[in-house]
Amino acid sequence: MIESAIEALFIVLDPSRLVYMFIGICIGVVVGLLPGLSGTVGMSLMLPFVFGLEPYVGMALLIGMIAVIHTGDTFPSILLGIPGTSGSQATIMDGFPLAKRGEASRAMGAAFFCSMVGGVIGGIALYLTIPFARPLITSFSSPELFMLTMLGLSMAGLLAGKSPLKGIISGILGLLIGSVGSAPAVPEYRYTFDTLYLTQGVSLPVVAMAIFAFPIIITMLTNKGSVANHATLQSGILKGVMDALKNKFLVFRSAVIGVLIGFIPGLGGSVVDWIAYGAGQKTVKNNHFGKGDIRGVIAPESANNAKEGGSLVPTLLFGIPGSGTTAILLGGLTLMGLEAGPKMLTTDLSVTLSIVWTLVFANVFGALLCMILVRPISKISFVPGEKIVPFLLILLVIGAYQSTMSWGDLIIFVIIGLLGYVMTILDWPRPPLLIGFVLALPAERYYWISIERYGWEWITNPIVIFLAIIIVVLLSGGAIMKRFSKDYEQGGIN
Amino acid sequence: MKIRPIFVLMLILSCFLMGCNTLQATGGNQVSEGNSSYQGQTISFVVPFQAGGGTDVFARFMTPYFAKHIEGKPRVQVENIPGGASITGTNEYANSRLPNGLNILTSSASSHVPFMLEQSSVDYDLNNFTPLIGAPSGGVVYTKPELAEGGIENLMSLEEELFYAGISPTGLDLVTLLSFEVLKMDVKAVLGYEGRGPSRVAFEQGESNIDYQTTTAYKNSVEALVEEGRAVPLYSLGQIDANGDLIRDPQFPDLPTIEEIYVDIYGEKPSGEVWDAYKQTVGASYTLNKVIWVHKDAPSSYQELLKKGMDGLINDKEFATHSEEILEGYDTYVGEELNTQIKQSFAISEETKQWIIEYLRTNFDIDIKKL
Repeated sequence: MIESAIEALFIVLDPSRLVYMFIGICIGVVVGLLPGLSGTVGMSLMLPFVFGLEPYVGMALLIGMIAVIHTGDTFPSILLGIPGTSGSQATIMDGFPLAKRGEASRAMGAAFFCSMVGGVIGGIALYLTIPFARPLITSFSSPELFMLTMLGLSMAGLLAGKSPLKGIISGILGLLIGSVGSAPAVPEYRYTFDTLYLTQGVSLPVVAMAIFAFPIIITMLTNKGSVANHATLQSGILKGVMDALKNKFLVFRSAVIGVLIGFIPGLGGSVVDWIAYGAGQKTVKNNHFGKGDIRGVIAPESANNAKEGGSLVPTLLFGIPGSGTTAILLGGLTLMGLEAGPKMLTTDLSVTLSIVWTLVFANVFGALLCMILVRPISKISFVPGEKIVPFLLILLVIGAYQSTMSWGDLIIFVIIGLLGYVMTILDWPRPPLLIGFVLALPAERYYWISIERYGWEWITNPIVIFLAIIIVVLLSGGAIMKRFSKDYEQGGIN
Repeated sequence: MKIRPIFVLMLILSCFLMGCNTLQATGGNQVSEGNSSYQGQTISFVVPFQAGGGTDVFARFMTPYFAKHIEGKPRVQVENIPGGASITGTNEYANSRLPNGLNILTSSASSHVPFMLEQSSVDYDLNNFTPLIGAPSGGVVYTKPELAEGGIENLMSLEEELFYAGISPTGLDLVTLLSFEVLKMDVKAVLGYEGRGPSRVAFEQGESNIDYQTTTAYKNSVEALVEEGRAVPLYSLGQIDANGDLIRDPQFPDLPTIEEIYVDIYGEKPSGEVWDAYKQTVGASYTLNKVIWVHKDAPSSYQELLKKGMDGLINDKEFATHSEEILEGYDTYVGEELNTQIKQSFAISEETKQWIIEYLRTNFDIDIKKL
């Protein structure tokens, strides 16, 4: 396979194809940069152009874009506290406080570097899992997938902050919002109030935008200040890179989490940043996550780029898209005369390998491009809030409307936005709501299938029991560990 | 003023975004009666699905050939209106798009079956559209080799051992479920899978042991399993011919239809309401898997030009060679042939309709009037 990998490298490095990759990278960065536009929108914009393109060229374009979306989306998350796409919400938690302290450049330096490393790890993971993909993917049955969604949901507890009860209620609220629309297992509609719009449920980009961006906009208007309080912008890209290097194990761990979650089909890769963040919070000693800890930026940023490599495995080899973006990618493949499936490993292996290379290169170039852009773009954080709000509003409204082109999107945006605002005022954690929202459908789906298929005997499945133990340890052990590490601190390790 | 460039940048970005929006607004209002040429016109092609799905890919594949063969070489612009499993977009086409010949629509099985069963969310009448071109698809049912060992009779004697992984009983799964019903097989349908890909994985890992895939997916992913001895095809779902009879799928000439299997086992031809229901759904879901339409009220000169364009299109050698992947190797229907197929596929008798509705209600607890 190494031979064909080298062959694919030359295919990718062909100047005529490189041009397309760079076009893809530029579009990806812009799409990521603009809040409200996600990979799905970017893909739908490009789809008409890939028709009839040579597969290598088309893939360079599409993968080039997918690879860097989660690099570009860091800008608004850190600078404005608004997620660039739903994949960079967790970056806000610490990136935004850092920006407020004038350390935006440092945060972005670390973020881009981690995105790059994470993305490259994702590409390598894609390459390495190719031979084992089939047995690996078919090893997950519905009961195990259900327990994995439960594992994801238990992260909501970890992210709850001070009050676990508020976290749980917030998560349940998310589950409730996620259950709007057609039920996964029975053709039945819930909470649709007889409108056709709600039958497809509330779309993730709208919820993610509303819950984070709406409150920020109100705060910007009421506070009348710019995001950064400090007058000078410290140039700290290198410092950020050094921060990332110092935490290389965290970067690696988070990237592996990203790959794994992306890899498991149907789990909804959009919570990967939260899970990496939660895991980081649990495992990093002496952290002050949530108050501007650079490691709170490093963990989610390493994971969200790595996810793409992982999620391409089920997409390319099984035709199972893990996200809206990869769903459209499948369509793009067909338009270029390719079909996802085992053939991607045999007759079309060179295309698959060219995808691996494109992932690696695009992540490197995308991160470099973003680092160049840090200086001009980070000045946004000095623009007074009331001047930036009109632009943001336009972007967000168009972004929300883009998701299904229906007026309902705007109404939902405002309703959920108000909910988000109330939650900020009352100091309720919002991440659990998003996790609940994203995992509502998969959790219900796999629970239903497990019961329908196996009755109750699935509970005795060893992997299910193993996952259950992990969940219990995570939930209870977390508190114990925290106490433990406190003792540690007091013991004078610092 | 240091801030200036940022404002300019944001302004440019905002404009860029506006540009990203669809061309919905430009397609409509320029209706000009008497003008019967597509010269310089833009046809808006409504696809009631998200970009990237099977029907969307089909539509996008067709657009350049439309532009090439319709006289006057109009621009053809795909417009995705996703939602409600294609019902939202089809409703919108029927009720909000001007019947000026500049708006066309593609429908698929998921718009045909709800229309046939008069689902309450359906606010369109396919009889008010003129069909332009129709494309079939097919499906193959397969099982585990160890279950198929004793032949199909063995499969039928199994009780509570067959598991089928499906998506929803009102979608394409309905045809497969009805085929089990015709053959009187005891299959437990576990529904709720996210798509045909995940349900195939469920088959591979043993969560289900009888499954079907549509033609392309079967050829791409299941034939390899068959070669490795991990799956055995049982029958194709078949096609409906011009006389309304079930025939072998031309893509799988070696696979029997369920009619042949039934005759083998029971010594007589299948009949009754189940059988009618099965044939009806095969017609509306597979033989006419996708149809492209224009409003019946559109100027007749435009309708003629569109129809003529389709005739040109199917005789295009380039189209024939390139359509292999997208059309799964099936021949398309145009003209009279298409009209006949449509008439017999969508004209469902009241008894058959009631039978299907009742079937869905008793087996899956579905009230079609509430969908």
